[in-house]
Amino acid sequence: MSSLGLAPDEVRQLDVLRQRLAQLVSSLQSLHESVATAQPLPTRESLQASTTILQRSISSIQDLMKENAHLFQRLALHPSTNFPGREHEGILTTLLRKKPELEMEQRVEAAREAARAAGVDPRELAPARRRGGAAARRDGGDGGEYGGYGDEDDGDGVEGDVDDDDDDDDGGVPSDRFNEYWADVRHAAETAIRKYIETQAMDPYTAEERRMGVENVRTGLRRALDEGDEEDDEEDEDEDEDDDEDEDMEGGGGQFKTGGGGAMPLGPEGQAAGVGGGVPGQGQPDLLPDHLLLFAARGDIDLPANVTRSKANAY
Amino acid sequence: MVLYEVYLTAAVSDADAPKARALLGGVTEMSERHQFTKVRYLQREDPKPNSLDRFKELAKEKSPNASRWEQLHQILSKQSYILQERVNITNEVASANSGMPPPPLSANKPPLLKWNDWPDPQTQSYPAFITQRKTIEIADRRLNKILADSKFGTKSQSIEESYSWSLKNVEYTLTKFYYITTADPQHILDQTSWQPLAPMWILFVRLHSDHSPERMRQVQAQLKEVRERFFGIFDFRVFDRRAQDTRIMQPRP
Repeated sequence: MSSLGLAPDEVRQLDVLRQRLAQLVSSLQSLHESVATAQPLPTRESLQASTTILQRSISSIQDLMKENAHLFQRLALHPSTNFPGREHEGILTTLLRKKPELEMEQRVEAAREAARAAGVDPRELAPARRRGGAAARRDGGDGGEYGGYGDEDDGDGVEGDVDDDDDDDDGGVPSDRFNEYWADVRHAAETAIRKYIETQAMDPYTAEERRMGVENVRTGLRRALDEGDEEDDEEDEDEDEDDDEDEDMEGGGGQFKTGGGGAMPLGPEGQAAGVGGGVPGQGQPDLLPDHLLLFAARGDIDLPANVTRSKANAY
Repeated sequence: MVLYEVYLTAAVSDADAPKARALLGGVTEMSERHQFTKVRYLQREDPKPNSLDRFKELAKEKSPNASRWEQLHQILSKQSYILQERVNITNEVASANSGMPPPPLSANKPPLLKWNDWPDPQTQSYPAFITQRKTIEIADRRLNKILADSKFGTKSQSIEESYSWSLKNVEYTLTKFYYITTADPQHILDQTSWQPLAPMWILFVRLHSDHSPERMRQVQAQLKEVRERFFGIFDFRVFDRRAQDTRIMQPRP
């Protein structure tokens, strides 16, 4: 193996890659078999398990590529001098081929089309790999200026090397024509996050609320957020009463406040006034859940007075 | 062997019902099953728990229902209850809605006779928001005749509309109750003649159990978990068991 000019460690990495790819292929094969043989389909659990296994294989391959990017990028494949090139030309070209086969390329394109039709940004599907040195930074990684995917003539003035196909290495580092764009997006996101952490996170009101006037904000909290704003408290009190929707129940079942975490407001309670009448009349809006349970059990809503009405839980 | 129904109860307003349905569908990972059931509440004119000869006969038949008829006979001999006759009218309502002539009610479907005891009294052994009661369900095509022979008359009728889901043997059912405002059997399937009792749905989270303490404990634990899981979303509260009392008390002399 010394003729390869590779250190034994590097050969090992290649071998690990080969093994992981083999694993992936065998997982795919077993999934294929299980789908073919199970009637009508494998169980949901087994499909999910297969998906997980495949994802893990793929991600372990990606990790390996990332770690050894420097190695795989500079590998170049050539047949050794004693390879019977003339007799086995077919195999040779297959082994040395870098571009994906036509059928594969078409399938990849179709998948990207489908993703786009479904509203998924195809740029997000491609592996995000930063090519060191080729990242040209621009303001805002704004999606608007990028031409449609599949545009061979990227007329958007991209600097740096966009056409990555030629640079496909046999190590198989997945390259992506949008690498530079990813770099910009990341830069923009970092800037925004920094700005948020430094300034906006401290502020209890959004910019819009400040424009509206802080006093008008319905926080749903009893305490004031800013330097003791009395009006907030009064506003909250009023809101509570309004929100309670005729809450005058025996034992006071409270309505649920949505200020503290968005609990789904629950069953409307009606007035407790003893609802009688054995024979159902017109739909009475002031029935309690207790009446409904009685109806479910007996077919009437004559809830005796001695029955305790249910109370809402205090959350 | 007695069957128990063990369940949680919560109220859901009309406005929240679509959200609740979406939530339950998501949690159980299944599509809702939408059903309509016509319920006839039955009681005997004579509240005295006379022995029910017809039931006794049925208990002697060689059928899977025999033991249940026997149980029911024994229970009703000691105490009068309101029973329910339940018929699934989902298909009939669907065809009525689509303008086709509805098939006659209960043509091929055996109606279900349901007896519920009033719920067990609350004890220390399980939390008060769990309701448990004995129940017997018997499906028999001859039910109409059997009930008439045993002098059960109609007390009232209603329609229950329900959406149900299930997860790990736990049944989630969102039910709405309607009065039937027409006495005309032709028009019972006409949804416009239904009057909702209240602008709310009741969510039942139900499990069945036999009387063995271990199974009961298991079932109660499962329900406790469900309640915790939905804490802040559905309010499974405590209901006085007298609100679900199905007994017919004898008038004091």
